[in-house]
Amino acid sequence: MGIQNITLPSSENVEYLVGHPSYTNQISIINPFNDTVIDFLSELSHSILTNSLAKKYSDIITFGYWCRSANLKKMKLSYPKVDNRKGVGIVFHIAPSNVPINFAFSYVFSLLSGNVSIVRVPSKQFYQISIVSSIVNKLFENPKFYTIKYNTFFIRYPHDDSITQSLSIISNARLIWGSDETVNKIKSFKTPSKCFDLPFSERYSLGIIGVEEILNLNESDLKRLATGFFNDTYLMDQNACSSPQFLLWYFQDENLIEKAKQIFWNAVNDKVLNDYDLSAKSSVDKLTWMCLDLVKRDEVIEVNVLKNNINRVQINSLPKSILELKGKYGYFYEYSTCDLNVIETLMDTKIQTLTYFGVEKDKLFDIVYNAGNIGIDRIVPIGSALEMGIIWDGYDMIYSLTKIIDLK
Amino acid sequence: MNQVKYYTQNFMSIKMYTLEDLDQYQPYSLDYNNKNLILGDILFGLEKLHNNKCHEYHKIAQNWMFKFSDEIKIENLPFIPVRLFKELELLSIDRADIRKTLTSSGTSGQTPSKIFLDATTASNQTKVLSRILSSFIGKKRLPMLIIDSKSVLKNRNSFSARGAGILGFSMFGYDVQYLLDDDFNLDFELLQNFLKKHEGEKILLFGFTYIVWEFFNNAIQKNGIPINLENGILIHGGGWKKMIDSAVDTHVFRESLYNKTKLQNIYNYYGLVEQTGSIFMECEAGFLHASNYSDIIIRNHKDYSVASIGQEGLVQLVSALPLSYPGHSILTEDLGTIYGIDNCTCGRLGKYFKISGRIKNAEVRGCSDTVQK
Repeated sequence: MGIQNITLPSSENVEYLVGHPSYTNQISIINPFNDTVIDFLSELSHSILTNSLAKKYSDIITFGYWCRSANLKKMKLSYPKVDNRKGVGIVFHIAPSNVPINFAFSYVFSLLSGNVSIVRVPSKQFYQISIVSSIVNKLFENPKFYTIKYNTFFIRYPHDDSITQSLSIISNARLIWGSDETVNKIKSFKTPSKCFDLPFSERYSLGIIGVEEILNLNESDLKRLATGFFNDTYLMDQNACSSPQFLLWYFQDENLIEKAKQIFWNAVNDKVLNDYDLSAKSSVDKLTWMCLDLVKRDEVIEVNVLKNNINRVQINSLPKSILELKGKYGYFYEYSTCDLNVIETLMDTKIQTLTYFGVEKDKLFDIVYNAGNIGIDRIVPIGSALEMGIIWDGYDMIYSLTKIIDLK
Repeated sequence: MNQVKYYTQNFMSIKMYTLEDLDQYQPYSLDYNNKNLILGDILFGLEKLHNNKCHEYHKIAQNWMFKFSDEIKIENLPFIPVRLFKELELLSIDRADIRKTLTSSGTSGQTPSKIFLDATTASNQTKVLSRILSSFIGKKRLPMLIIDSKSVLKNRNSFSARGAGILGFSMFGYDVQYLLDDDFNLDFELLQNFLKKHEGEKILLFGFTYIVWEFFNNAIQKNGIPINLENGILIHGGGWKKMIDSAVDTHVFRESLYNKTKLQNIYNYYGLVEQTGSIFMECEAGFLHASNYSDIIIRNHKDYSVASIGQEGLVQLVSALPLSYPGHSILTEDLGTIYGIDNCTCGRLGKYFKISGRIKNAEVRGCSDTVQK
């Protein structure tokens, strides 16, 4: 067994949270949705969901829930014809340094595709990483998971170009999560000519809400929508690539816009008041941005503040690029339109997710699909913006990280 | 409530006050009501001025959303976040009238703030600084030592906050000497000669808190040469941020210098480069004081309402001095607490307070903030 002669950095230079450099002669590339892998992930899910330490971290729990066998089996059904596929080989993951649990999703994507995973976790010592690593190590004690054990490396090292280079040169694919700067830096390392990268760089996201539909909501549905919106935005301080920073209000009757906004934002504010702790720094940052928006942007017609929790900037025309309209900690730009085709003009390459409520999703898909440009990879209902999926940033991880053995 | 009523009634009926009216009083002699009346009037005059003269300020003030009532009181003035002076060039004068530009060094990699002074504002700053300082150290000029390197003053047209501070304070001394060489080594020979020359005289020392600690206090400790500064008066400011790691506060600072040099007249001051001149001096009881020329308001960051006495919050500073730029009311990034008004044991009237630090970054980061490290 084993693929080409590969050497991993010694454990003196690199911390191996999971795996060991000596395993390299036992690695093997396997089929997607391999039964052992599914079995392993189900047990991982179970171990996480019953682990008292893990329970303290909602992001670990979300991950554990994602790995449960029902979800994986459902996922497998959407890949009916993969029995002529297998993993592409060694996948080197550069996890984002500030999202603790992202490394685990990245790992599972490549594991499900049948690959060997070398996952560089953030150098910051997040508890989430040690908790997940120790659960994984525990499962690897069971001989039935040895195949996976030899295919799994979670490593940590501080900034060191020579190590990144030595791992890049043995990679068949790299998953690079990070800022544009990070992605470009990683791309500059030499890789085998056949190696490919899936870059997950900076993205921007927006939302669309149907005015009339807001007015038709009953109290509990409104509450659910507000909670969903809260999870999409405040939960990660709008720092996630998929968190909307810009909102389109789609109307038929112009006179209803203000009413709908009022209902929606009051409901969001109720949620924020209970579940969000605004820091002094965030509060001053938002005030500073509001002043700058008032001074620098001619398209700004009004600013609104609800208790410093929600800052809203109303614009009456679109700037050249909406990517300039950046908000964090509950800072939103709003624009009203009666024409859904305006989405087409917003579709910068960097735009990832369009979250929607009260607008027909098929119409949104048609506009995005038929637009001759390349923005927007994801159209999901409000509340699902942060849900990690096997399809991400426009890539289907299974198809991207497997190869076909063409038999004729 | 009575206080407010008294003040607003008077406010409407009284003439417009100017800075000169404040000069008739000792810098710490106005009580709450009178201060609101006079300083309040001056500040609303400035508010009107900057609204008319500064287009950027006008846009912000026009859309201001943190007014809690229509009463004309200091608390209802808009307060612009201090970072705007880094992001924008804010002026209420023609560029031709700029006499001096102050810049703050800021943290490395940041754009510095830029403050544009015309002749009147610059001279008001000097005048007010002098009034405040002389109430602590007397009117007489004193032989003076600057605990810094002369290299800080390279460019005479554009001053860093540190350079401006040094020049501003040097006006209160004569025979001004710089104690640090270009590499920030303490010049012991110069110091000893100076002390010999001015033996028996009061001596004024000025420096930035961190520089005084690192290159004066620590150098004396290392060197071991006995220095006697029992006739010295040290004025220092610029913040404690760099010393938090070594756990040095005003108490440790005073005690250490006293033990090494017998220096006991030590006054810390607090202020913004955006409001140079109207500084806040620390009194004998260890509190910072607002003079007649300025005031402090503590705000709750959750809704910008005014915090009550004893409650920590964001520091807003108002000053009667800025004419050439809209800096009369600024929200800082500092946290502080007001301990009382008009009743400090030191006898000075006005609000007295402490600064507890800077606001901290506590955000939940996302995938777009990663840096390769």
